Amino acid sequence: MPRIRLGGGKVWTLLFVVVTVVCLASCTATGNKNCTAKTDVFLKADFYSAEYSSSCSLTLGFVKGLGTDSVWMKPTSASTLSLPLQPNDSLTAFAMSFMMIDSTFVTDTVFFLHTNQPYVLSMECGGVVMHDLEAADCTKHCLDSVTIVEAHVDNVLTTNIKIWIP
Amino acid sequence: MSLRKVLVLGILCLSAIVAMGQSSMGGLTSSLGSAMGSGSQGSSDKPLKAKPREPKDTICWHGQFVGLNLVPPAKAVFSPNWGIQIQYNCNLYNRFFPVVELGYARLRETRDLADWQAKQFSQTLTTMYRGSGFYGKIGLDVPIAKKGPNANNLFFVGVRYAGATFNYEILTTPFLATYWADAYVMNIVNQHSLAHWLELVAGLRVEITPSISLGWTFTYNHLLGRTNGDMSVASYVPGYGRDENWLPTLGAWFYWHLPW
Repeated sequence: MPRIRLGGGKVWTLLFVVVTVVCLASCTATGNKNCTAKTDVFLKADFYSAEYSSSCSLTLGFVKGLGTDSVWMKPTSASTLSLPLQPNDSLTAFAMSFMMIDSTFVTDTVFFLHTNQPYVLSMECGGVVMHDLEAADCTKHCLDSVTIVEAHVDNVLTTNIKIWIP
Repeated sequence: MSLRKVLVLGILCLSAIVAMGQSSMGGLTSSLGSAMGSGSQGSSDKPLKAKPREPKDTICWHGQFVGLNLVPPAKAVFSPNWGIQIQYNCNLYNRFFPVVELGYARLRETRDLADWQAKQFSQTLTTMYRGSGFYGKIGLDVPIAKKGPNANNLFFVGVRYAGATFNYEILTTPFLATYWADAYVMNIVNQHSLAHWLELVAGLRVEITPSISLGWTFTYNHLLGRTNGDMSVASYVPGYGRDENWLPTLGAWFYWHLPW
């Protein structure tokens, strides 16, 4: 049986052995990732004053999705709303009550027509449903109008619509 | 111990050995072989003489190799993942080693839902990723240290540009409860993706017999770009690995020296 000889001398042999040991040791090093992405998908709505063309804050009595029993947002003062859109329906509507100057509450309804796109962020994070706004409108008891700023609604919170107040 | 620590440890070991070789033999690259042969250059008793520079090799063709990476097929022993990666490289002027690699990889991974996901479901669920695809690489290796008339033993660094095309599916993907809907699971199938990346390679090839060599490669991969599937982001890229911007990988190579 022929004797196998490393053709490169002692340094090369030693180098090969060390690299082999390091490689085998590193085979045991495994990583386990956790989800680091944001898994909430919200439409961001900013309130704007039509008179001053600037952001404004309103006192809200409640925000409630039409067709559900639960309230999304309890009384608060806010200049921005984060609203979840329906993942399995193309129409989402929210009823919002606003406090007027005379301390009475007036309710308006904001409608969104949208498409839904299930999307897997990663194995660790699972899936979310993203949306593309096609239209937005509102009743005009307290509100003036709604304009779409960014139609794509995903897990990155950016202003999607402006709700204009007279 | 994390992979990064092991790699750093490995590089330190290599540096130490190379430095040892340098100090005891008076040179690294071309002088390594001759220094080992004479064994007297490193002696502290004698004054160091300036070694003449090795003349540049004027012979273009020094042979060619076909290599098989043993790591991808070996994965089949320990996991449902496997692959095959074949390399062709040739030796030009003992200084340039153009490389072409082709490969196929099949990936399977299951993952139990994390606690924050699992509590929304009444039963235990496991997400499964299944994917497969082909990849190719093209690049160049250059020797840092070599020995033998045809660079029979070689410590080299190199660079590769690589691309992959692959299909995958993610089964039992959790979609968590929202204000409007309860939690549910969905199978995401027929996803297709493309990816390209850059590789920085450091490796070692040692001749066992005149026609067979063995070697290791450390590769640091950098993802340059990737297209997502219609409904997902691919978790793995064949030939690259996990979906991370920088990713180290190891290769164990069996080389066959072609006789022409």
